[in-house]
Amino acid sequence: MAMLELENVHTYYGNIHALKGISMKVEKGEIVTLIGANGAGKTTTLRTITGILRPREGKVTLNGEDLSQFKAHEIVYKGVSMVPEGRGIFGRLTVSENLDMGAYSRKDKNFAPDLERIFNLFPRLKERRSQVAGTLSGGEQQMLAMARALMARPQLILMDEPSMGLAPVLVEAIFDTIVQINKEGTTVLLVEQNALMALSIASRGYVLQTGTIVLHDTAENLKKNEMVQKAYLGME
Amino acid sequence: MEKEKSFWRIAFERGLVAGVILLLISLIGMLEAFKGREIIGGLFTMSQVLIVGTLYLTGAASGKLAQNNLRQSALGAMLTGAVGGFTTGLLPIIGTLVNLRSVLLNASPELYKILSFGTGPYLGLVVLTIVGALSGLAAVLLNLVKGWPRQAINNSLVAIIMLGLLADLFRVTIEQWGNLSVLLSWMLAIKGLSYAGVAAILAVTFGLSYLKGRKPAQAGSVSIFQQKGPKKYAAWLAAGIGLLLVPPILGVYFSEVLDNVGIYILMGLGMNILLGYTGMFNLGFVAYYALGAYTVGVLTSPETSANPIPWIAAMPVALLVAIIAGVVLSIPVLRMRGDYLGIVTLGFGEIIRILAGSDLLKPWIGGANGITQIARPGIALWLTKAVPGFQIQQTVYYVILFFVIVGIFLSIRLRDSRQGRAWMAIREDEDVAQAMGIDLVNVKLLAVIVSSALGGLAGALFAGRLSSTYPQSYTLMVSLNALCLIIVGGMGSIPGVVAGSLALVGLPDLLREFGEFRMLVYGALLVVMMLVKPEGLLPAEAAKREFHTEENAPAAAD
Ligand SMILES: Nc1ncnc2c1ncn2[C@@H]1O[C@H](COP(=O)(O)OP(=O)(O)OP(=O)(O)O)[C@@H](O)[C@H]1O
Ligand SMILES: [Mg+2]
Repeated sequence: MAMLELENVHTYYGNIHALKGISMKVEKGEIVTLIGANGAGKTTTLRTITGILRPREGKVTLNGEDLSQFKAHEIVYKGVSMVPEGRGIFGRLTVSENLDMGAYSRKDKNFAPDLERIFNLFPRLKERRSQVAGTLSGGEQQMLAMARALMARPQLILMDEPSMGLAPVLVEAIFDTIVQINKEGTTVLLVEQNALMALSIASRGYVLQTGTIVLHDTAENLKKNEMVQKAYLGME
Repeated sequence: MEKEKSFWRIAFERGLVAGVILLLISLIGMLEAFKGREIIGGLFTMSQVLIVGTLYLTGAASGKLAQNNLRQSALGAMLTGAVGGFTTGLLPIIGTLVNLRSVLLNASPELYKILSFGTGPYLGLVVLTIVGALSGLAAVLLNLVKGWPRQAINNSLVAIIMLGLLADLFRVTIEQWGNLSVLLSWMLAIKGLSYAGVAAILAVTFGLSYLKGRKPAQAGSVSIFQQKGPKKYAAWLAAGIGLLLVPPILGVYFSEVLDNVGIYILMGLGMNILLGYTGMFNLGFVAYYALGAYTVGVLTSPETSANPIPWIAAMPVALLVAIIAGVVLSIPVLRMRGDYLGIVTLGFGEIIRILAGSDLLKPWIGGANGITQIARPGIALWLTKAVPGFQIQQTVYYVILFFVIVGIFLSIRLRDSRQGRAWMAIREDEDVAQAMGIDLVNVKLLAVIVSSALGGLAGALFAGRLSSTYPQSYTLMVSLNALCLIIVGGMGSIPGVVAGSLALVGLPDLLREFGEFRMLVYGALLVVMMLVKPEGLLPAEAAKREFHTEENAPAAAD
């Protein structure tokens, strides 16, 4: 049984048909990437998984359990964390307070080991613990958004374009961290426009075009695929 | 050269602005309203303070544009002041030539007399221009004074104007002290402050500023209330005793004003939880207030109830009614945001007011006649009887004070709780807050419950204080007041609610001339606040950070 499974999911904004029957699977321990151009429906897919949007047709299951019975805020209690598009940090709260918010769903209050792990992954955040998150640099905000998602101790982490707006060096650092997080046992669904980077760390990938999955293969094969090369890797 | 030219031009334009402001406050009747308020007896009135103050402040603003060139700065400020004075001085001349009165009600000979400082219209033009130039010059020269003397000058000016404005109340207050009134009566002239009083204020402000200025400013100086150890307890104890002594020392009128301030503090605390913490906009806050007042009225007045119950028994019911209304009215709008929520809640507020005055409900709640003979809080009645000379306004003060303290305590506890953090997360980003596991509906409902309870409590106190309630007390103004006071005080700040209530409810009550111009002063104050201190008088931590991020850069440790 797959950890996360979407079966023929249709999602609408009013009468705009944004997702037109998407099916995909993420197995435990994997990094899976969902690539696509602007407006393809990547964010919509993630919002449908986390229950902010409801599919009009089809279903989303987590370890075999239908997620439609849960409200949006309950999804995190099921072990799914989100790194939202555009980071979505709480700009007026400090770094520490943001991390506390990340742990909002937890019953236990023993955050010390999590903080240690996070500050190992992102030493920069440790220095800036008491800084107001809104004044962090873009890269630091991205780190904070990832760190905050980890505070919930998720089994599955959904990331929406973590490379957006970052310098190439930073993108590499962020992707290294994603691999690290994955190695430590968290399954990752990575939404990206930066297909090259995403495919270099993922095991499998889905290509989304205007609400439809047009390709699905291993990352290796996708990198070699002519259409992917043309449309997403900028090769002729 | 290019730059210099633009400086003169700006100074000139600012002068015109000053003139327009003065003409405006003249023609709406504000100058005339204040002509009787002598600040220093026999020397100058509040009208003159407004004229000179406007010219002084605009002059200072021009002077600051050329700070490194004293001559230019002084000349610029004088130009601004003179242009402002000249523009204003034209009004009496035009007024004597043409009859403006048929169009502009307030363009009276009395006004012209004020504007020309008692001289005729033509001489007045000269006088006003010179006064303007001198005000500008004074502003620049004063700006040269630095450190504690500067602080002392500013403080003494504010103190003299405030005490001068309140001189009448001051007199009424000390007269209640009987023989003890001689202790302070020398500070007052027949109208306004006496010269001796002014000298005393100067001595005190200069003395205090000197003492304070000598001490090296501590880094991030904390108020004494936040310091650790016995000093803190002593400060709180002193503040507590001070609050308890207000009714006997300051008398009936101040107590009455503070009763009103306290009621608005409770509403402000409620509004603060909704808007300041959770980011929910509510323009119908008056609905909770009205429901609280009417519930107490209906249950405790023999006019409306066969078995009237005491205030204290009706109060919890009032809270319950307000809470139920809050929750029921919120269910359809919980998903709305910002302006929509504001408009819908505005409608609720109006509906409640109209229902209260309607003939439909008249048999139960009195319609336009309202409800009278409402029970007052028993303890206040008892105190009024037990302490000779105490009026109901003074004893109700203690009841209101008690509930204000409870409200503040509750607000602090909630703010620092898990719920409080959830509110702030929602305010920042609802979707992300949900992804953190925050149940939007529950958390918002809790905010609605607490705030409507505070609104209902304020209403219950309002009805119990006056012993009557009428539909016309529950206008949109109540909601707007509660909104403005948290904006002025500082969104999301509990001390800000108190400061905002004192400034927006207390001050206008003390100065009855302001009554008419309340909305104008509010508007002007809000604009000035947004420009000068957008975070409010006593901002919350988070707002300080938002508006002064550059000062917040971390001490980068690598
Ligand atoms: N709130 C909304 N209301 C109406 N239409 C929307 C809304 N949000 C998204 N859409 C539409 O749904 C489609 C998919 O949008 P989505 O945000 O999922 O794209 P995306 O793949 O995440 O794009 P990007 O890479 O730019 O983030 C787009 O056509 C978009 O215009
Ligand atoms: Mg997107």
